Amino acid sequence: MVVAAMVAADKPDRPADGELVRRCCQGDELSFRELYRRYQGKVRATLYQLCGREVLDDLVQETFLRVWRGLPKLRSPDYFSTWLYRIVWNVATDKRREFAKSADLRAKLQPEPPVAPPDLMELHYRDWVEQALQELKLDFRSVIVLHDLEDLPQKQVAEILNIPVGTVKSRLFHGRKLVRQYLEKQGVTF
Amino acid sequence: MKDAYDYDDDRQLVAFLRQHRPLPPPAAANLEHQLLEKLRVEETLKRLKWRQRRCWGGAIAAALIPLAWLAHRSFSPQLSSAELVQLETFLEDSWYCSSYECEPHLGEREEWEMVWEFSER
Repeated sequence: MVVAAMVAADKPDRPADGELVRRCCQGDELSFRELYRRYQGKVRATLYQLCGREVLDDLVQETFLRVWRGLPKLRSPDYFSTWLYRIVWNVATDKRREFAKSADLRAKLQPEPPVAPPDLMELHYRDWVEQALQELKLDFRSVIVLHDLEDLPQKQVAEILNIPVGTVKSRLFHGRKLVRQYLEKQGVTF
Repeated sequence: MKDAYDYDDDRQLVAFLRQHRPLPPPAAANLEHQLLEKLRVEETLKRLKWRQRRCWGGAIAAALIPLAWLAHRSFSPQLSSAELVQLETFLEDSWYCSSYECEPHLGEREEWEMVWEFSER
């Protein structure tokens, strides 16, 4: 909801998420395309942090297909962004369960090194951040990705993950501690 | 939008993470097109299924109507032509007597019984 408000505030001419959702429910494909364009970057980034680059396009597609199917059942169109992130979370956990069944879990979840980095130091930093996040348990990582990287408020993260705000705070605290420890081992100082 | 960070150290850490966050690879050029195509296929299939269901519903209803008629016929009482004539007569008589006052029709034997009853008194 907050993200939706932010998106609408950025460009006042653009229809709010709720309006687009209502139009989608009447079969307006253009409105769905608008929603896709509005959120695909965030969805993609979140899924990448949670599941890696393997089958990333498929996961993004799966997310938006679930969104399309579920839109008529969405009771509060103004909560679209929270609902969307919940679907992202479900898609990510489903995919991880599938990966867990296969033997090459590590290989699949291990992202490939970035192509053509801007400079060597930046490459190291990105690699370390990526490694630090990969080292975290999914519970901690999801909270850090949604709150620290995607900039969602704690209340919304709690709604998305269906956990109390206190648990979000606690996971943030422990997750950040582990990330800091990892980065400090690499020589990064804060 | 943003929550107050609990610790100053955390603020620096979060800034570092945001600055050096790993970026996802670019999406396939035709990803949006593929997605919209899938949606169209899905919608078409949904409509076909709905039509199929309606056709099946119609066919089942069409089959049930003659069955219901047959069942009604076979379970309702069947009268012979003699019984039907008797019933018709009874209905005509009872209708006449309900409209006009009439004496009950007595048989010959009953009339004689009455004659004997009066003569004994």
